[in-house]
Amino acid sequence: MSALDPRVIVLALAVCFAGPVLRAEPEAASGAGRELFVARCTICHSIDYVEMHARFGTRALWEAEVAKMRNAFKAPVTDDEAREIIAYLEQQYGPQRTIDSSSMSKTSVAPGRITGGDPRSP
Amino acid sequence: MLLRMNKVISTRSEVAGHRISRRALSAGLALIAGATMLGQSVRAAVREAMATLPGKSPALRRLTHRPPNYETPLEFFRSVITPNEVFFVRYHHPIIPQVEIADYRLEVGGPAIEQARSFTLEELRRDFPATEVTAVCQCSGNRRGFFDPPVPGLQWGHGAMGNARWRGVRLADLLASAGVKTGAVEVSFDAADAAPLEGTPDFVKSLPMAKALHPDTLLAYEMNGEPLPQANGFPVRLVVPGWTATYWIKHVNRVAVLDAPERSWWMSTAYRMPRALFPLIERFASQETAERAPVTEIAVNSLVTSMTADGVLIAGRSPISGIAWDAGHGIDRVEVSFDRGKSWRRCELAEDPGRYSFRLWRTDMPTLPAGRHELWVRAANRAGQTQVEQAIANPAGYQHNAYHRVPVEVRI
Repeated sequence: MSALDPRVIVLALAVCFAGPVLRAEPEAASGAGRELFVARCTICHSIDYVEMHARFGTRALWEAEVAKMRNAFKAPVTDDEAREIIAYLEQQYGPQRTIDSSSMSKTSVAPGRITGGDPRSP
Repeated sequence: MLLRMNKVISTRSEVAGHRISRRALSAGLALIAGATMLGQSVRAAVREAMATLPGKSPALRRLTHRPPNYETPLEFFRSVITPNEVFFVRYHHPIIPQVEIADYRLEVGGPAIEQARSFTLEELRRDFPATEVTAVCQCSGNRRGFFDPPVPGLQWGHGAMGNARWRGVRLADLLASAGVKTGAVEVSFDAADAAPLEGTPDFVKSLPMAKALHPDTLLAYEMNGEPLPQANGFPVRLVVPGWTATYWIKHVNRVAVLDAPERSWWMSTAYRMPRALFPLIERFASQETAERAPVTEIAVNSLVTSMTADGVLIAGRSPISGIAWDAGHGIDRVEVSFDRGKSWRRCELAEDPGRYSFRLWRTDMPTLPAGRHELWVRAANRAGQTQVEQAIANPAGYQHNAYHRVPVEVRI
């Protein structure tokens, strides 16, 4: 990559202005339990992992996911905290909730069904 | 709580901001001095640039930021070889160091090795014959997003795969140079990437001896004639032709020959399927239990790639073409149906670029009555395996190989 490549320059600018405003990662939906969710879950992964499951994010799914994160990946979450995080996920990332488009990253759209070819093609 | 805090911080900047050369940085700083245009548009551009991985095209479709997971849009599968800059990216852990060539060492050891050895990249290139293989690298969970009912996990479309020319050293040659003891059972692989929490299982995978010693199994340092892109495993990755990408360890730095099966979580629990659902030809017996077996071979599969940007084939205007691939048994035939599977017609297969490669196919559009139709495509291999009409449901959503179905419009 040459130093004159505009993308490099943009990256250099990105480093100079790196900060919360320019963080590319999506933000967590607001709601009770948000701070705990962000503190525990984003140690290891960005929130788009959660967003992409919202279309089928039932309570059972979130219980299973939180259990997997605690048991298999050793997420530092107590029983009480797990209950709070599951309640938050069910509220904010469940299929019943119409999610505010501004809080969703555009890439988390589900691909849909196989009939219809590649539904995510532009 | 044990946190690899310094690593987390450094990786966040590496994953999001990437490595910037000093020259580039001063160019950027000079620009900033005169940058009166630092409005919303620049911020948006910066945001977009930060969202792209080093050496990768913004055309890649991002599923997740951290760990980074990106898929290849379908239009890039119109050619046999998938270009490096649009080759998919899949990571389990967010701490991804940029390995410096000068610091790189590949350690070869383990209880079933006679003489543990360590190699620099230069030694790998200089001391062992280079071998090249064209092979599809496909995530076990490719197309998971199409399962109905949905299955949790990365919601991939068609693009968690790619086909490349891999060049490197035969794993068999490397192991022979260190001496493999009788009683060797598996070869395991570890890499430079890591999880932020100490308790998270490290991503360690293993291969049975037969696959590890197969002459097509490589430790590759080149991809399509260039050094591996950082996001595809620089400087060295394992290439396991015919098997799913879970075994293709990136940034590999430790190879261990074992006298007992590998027990990492990623072998013992993850990447397994109910045995009865998927009869396998190349099995991984030392990892099988009565109920479950590791995912091994890539299921026979195919894809239509000649749709318009809207994902539609237009009769009389769109050619009908695509790709087919399998685990290396060889594509026997590709067929299309315009009447939802009542009748099938054979497609022309292009020249075979190699048993593990994508293979192009094409056919002509038949005369169809006006209106909307649906094209189905299916491939079969020389081992007698065919694609399935409905994807076979399994707990982790692996091996989706249902017929690709594409709307066809007849426009008068």
